[in-house]
Amino acid sequence: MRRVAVLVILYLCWITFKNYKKLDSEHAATELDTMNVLLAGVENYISPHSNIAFQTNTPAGRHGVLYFKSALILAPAVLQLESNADTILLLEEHQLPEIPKEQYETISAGDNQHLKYTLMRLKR
Amino acid sequence: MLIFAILLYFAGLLFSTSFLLRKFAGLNSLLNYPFSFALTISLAGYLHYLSLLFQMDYRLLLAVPVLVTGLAGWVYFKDIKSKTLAPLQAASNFKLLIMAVAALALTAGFNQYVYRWGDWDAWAIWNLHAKFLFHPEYWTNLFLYRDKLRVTHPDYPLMLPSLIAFIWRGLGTITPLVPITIAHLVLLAIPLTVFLGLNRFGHLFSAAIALAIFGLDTKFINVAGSQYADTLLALFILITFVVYKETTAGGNAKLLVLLGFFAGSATWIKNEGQLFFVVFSFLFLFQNFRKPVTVLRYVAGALIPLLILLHFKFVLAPANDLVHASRGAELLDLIASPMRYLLIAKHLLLTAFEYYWIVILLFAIVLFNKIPFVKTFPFAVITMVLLGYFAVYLTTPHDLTWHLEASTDRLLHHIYPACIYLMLLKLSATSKSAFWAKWQ
Repeated sequence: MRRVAVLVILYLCWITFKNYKKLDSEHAATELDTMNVLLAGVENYISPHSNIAFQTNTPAGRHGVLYFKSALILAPAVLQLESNADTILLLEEHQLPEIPKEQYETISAGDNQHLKYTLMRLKR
Repeated sequence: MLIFAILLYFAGLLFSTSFLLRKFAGLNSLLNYPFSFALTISLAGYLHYLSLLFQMDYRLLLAVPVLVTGLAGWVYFKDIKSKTLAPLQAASNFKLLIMAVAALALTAGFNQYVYRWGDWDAWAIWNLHAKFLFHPEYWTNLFLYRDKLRVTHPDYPLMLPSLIAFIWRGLGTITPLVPITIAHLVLLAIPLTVFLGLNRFGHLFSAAIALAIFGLDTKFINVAGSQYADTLLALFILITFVVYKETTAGGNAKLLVLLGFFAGSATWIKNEGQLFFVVFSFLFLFQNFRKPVTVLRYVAGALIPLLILLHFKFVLAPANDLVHASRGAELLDLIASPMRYLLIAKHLLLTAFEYYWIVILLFAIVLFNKIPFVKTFPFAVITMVLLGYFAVYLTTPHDLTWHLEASTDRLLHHIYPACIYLMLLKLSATSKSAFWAKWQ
């Protein structure tokens, strides 16, 4: 019986290892991972103490999701929902109308298949 | 990358806590394993948080438990040599097989559900807080700008984020595999603790039933797979009751310190844990107020978790949205509305029948067999915790239906494993339970 128990434990370790390997692969990437790739390098343009306002052109139902995922990626910089900050992170979906950016200067920008980001600040 | 140091750290803590439980609390039963596991993860969480608070170097943080392990190892070998340490009980092959099969079933369910970063609260709260704690120079940003981050609830306790951040720092990278691994281990720890807790009293049949209940419960596995802190809280609530049963069954009196520590540590996982701690402590102290040594031991165990929580709540954390929503007359209106009572009761009952029907079934069997469970200490604690949840819903500043839909299942999940353990224990221990005996 001990041998059977050891075999079950070994099989348990094997399926756990296989699953973790799968979770670590590109195929298991979630939206947070693709956003992480999209926003990679943004930290070079902001200080860890910055307060950044969050804006998006996406439907209201997506605001929370995109805000929290961006907040996780940018932390320890603080991403806030209020708009009273000099620097703004704008996330836009390609097919939706763009938000006017005339008053702002772009610090950094990039895009992927679904989203486009612009890190910008008010023109002085 | 300090991956080997991290592994050594956890192995050392596990060994040290296990040994100290044997040496000072005489805990040689198989329950030593889940208790050591819970002690290890809570101590790792506390130590990391304290290292951030006192700006301690990470390598020094890793070195402290390694030194403690060295010391514990030296005493251990001395005790082994002088044969003063009773041997640790080993599981029989049959029990080992049952536990392995249950772990396999739970893992298979977990693997099917789990995905990177987990559900909403996992990334919006727990992993986000962990990301702040990953940066020792800037972790206080979470509290310095708390008004701007209030939607992520910076007032939530930090055991899970602290544990995640501690391992991330050791690995030198932020990977979702860490919260997944913690969720996986906590998922396995609950059924195995119930199994060992029931087996401790010789109720192998009930213990096996408990494993089957958890192994087949997709809701239980899914909540664990979501990587929320709810399952960790459920583990600590369960372990508190298991230690309590140990102390009432003639266990070493020093286990009372452990009882206080586990009950107190529930406060460091989620705010709901604070309600549990207040209720448990109030009833425990009320029950034992004529036994000052018992009270002192319990308080001594709860002291450190409580001091850490109080410092966090009063110095760092912002006000809680449920407790500090400034309302006067509005509160009276909420309490005086009969429709709110009906809505809460309906929602709690429907959720209980949908996901936790097994607890209702076991409770019905207990009542049917006239087993005196209703007058016990654990029943009083569970009832008062449920009443506390009811009161929170009643006075919530949020939309009631939304609040109920967002949290009822998870609130019941906190007490679910403890209920399974307590009811199976009661059913198995009562000789009057002819119904139960028939099934055995």
